[in-house]
Amino acid sequence: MAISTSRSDEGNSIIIRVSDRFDFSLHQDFRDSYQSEQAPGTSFALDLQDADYMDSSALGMILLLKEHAETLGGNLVIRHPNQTIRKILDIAKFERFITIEG
Amino acid sequence: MELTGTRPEQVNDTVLVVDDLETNRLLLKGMLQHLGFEVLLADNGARGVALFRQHSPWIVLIDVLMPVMDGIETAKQIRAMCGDRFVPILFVTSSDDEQLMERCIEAGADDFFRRPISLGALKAKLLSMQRIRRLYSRVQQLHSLLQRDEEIAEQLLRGAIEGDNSALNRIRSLKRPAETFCGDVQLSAFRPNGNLNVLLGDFTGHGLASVVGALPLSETFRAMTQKGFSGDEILRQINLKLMKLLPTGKFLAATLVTLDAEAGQLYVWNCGMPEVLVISPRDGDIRHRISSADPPLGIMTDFEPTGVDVLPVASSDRILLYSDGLVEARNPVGEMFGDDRLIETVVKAAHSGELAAHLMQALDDFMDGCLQDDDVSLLEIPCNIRAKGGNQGRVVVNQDSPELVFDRDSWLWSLELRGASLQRVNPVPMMLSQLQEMQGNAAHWQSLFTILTELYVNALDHGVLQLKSEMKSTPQGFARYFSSREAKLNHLTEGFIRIQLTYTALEGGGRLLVRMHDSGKGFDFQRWLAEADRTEAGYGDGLAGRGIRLVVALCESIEYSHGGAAVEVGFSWRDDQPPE
Repeated sequence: MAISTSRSDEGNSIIIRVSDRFDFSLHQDFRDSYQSEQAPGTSFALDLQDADYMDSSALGMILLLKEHAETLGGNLVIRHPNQTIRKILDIAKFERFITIEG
Repeated sequence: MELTGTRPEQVNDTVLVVDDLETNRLLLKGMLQHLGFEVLLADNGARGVALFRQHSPWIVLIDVLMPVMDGIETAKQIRAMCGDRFVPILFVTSSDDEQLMERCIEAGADDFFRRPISLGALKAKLLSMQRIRRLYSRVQQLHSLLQRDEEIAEQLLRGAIEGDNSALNRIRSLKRPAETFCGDVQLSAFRPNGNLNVLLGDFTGHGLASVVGALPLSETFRAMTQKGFSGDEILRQINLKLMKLLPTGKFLAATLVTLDAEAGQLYVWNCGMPEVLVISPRDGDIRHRISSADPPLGIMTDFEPTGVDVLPVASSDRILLYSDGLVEARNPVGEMFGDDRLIETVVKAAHSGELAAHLMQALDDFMDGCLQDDDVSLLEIPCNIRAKGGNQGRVVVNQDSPELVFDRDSWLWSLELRGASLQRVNPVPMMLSQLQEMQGNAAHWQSLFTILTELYVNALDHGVLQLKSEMKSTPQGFARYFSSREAKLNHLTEGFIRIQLTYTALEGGGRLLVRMHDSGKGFDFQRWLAEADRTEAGYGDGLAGRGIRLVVALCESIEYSHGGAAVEVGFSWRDDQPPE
């Protein structure tokens, strides 16, 4: 499975892990991974450690996740992008409005 | 022949039966003829293939086990001949070996008959196959209809979006959509002062959904460019439009460049696109690489373009804009074309001055027939493009006897901007649209646009903001000048600029007096005017003082007062002035 979710130890944040290619083919699965989380204050972490490529439709999917997090009053953090993905995030200047960690 | 009899359909009703046993063949033939079909019989696979080629039957019944060529091989060969046509292939077998059935389906079969065959079962199967075949041809029909409609829609849309592009004979443009509709948009238009604006945009995704924003994008770009708005104002406006229009998750990456060929300057705003390259064919290398400084448009409501790069360019230089579909194109083993290969190709082709063509060739070689999964587009802009009839020469006016038509036809328009409104409002397009509305469109507004822009920029930069023009004497200083200008402008709370336009009709033409007064301390205008005279006589070529030189060259009178803080410029024209 290219997408897996888990709950953080504190319980108020959801970690979404994407592996291999993060592109349009994951559209539905990606949406399903967070759509059912409706608890106010839930935050999301998108862990890209195992993802090796990302295209611009993935950028759009991230924006949708961010919107979902903000509707719940939480936020979104992107974690561990590799160099290729980091470059795509950088070109789109996502660090201006999303926290990107290591 | 139509079993259901509901709707006559143009079908050939021939059935091909391939079986090595004569009893089986005759049994099937009898039943099929009873159901009203024409029947072709073959006693081995090879003959079956030959009969199929000759008669194109609508359905084939094959015995699995046969000598010479077995049923599976026969099915494969027949399937290979079908192309886009739907021809059901049914196997007839006495075995219930599941593995064998699997192999049959893999070879291209659609269904099975188990022996012994009853007339009812045969009729039912053929009926269902006919139904599938009707569905299939309906889908094919709809698909080709859709494709045709898409192609027409694409052409219309393309025409509306890119049909009005300027300098098409000079800009080399290549575009390869991944589908009929292309999410990449290429736009070009001249500003009133003859500068060229080019925008390369890439909407998220491709296909029909990606082009909904293209029409408002092109309208905004064109209207604002023609009115003389600056690049960051255009981008801000496009962003607002797209925020309203696009759903979350859809956005537009875009590069906008403004080429001032006369001054040898290039302004680049890169919002989420790959690097912009400026190549010098003369030196055979890459002169500038400008990477993305701002996020794409349509994501943030408060989008504020921070990164304009102002770069010196030579007239022989070439600007290269491309979408990420180029660097992310993949070859048959899944590798990406990539930045390194792109740069290598560009450096190799730099001397040729045919960058776009070389790049496309390199891309084709690399992809080796692989299908594109994103739109690829490429623009190559030579740095010597400027509008014909721009402000090259002054508008020639017969000044011997410009008879005043008294006050019967005149107007006065004025505006005062104070404090922070100076950072928000650009009055030049307002003045220009004022002129256009009251006096109609005319070629000489191009020169007037230049005069108004230069006067206003001088009043704001050197008057209100107190920036030193000397800073601009080197290209590095030029960049520093812009960042300090931006910083000062953002904190502006006081100061004013008063603008007054006075129009008077003349015999067969008109005259406009432009007065601008700023809150600054003034400047040593005598020195600059002398400088302007000197350079007009062929001396000096600094980046500073260009503004005054231009104004002096274009207007018929210029007069400073208040120690240089106020200026009045006269400009006359004849209505019969040819457009260029």
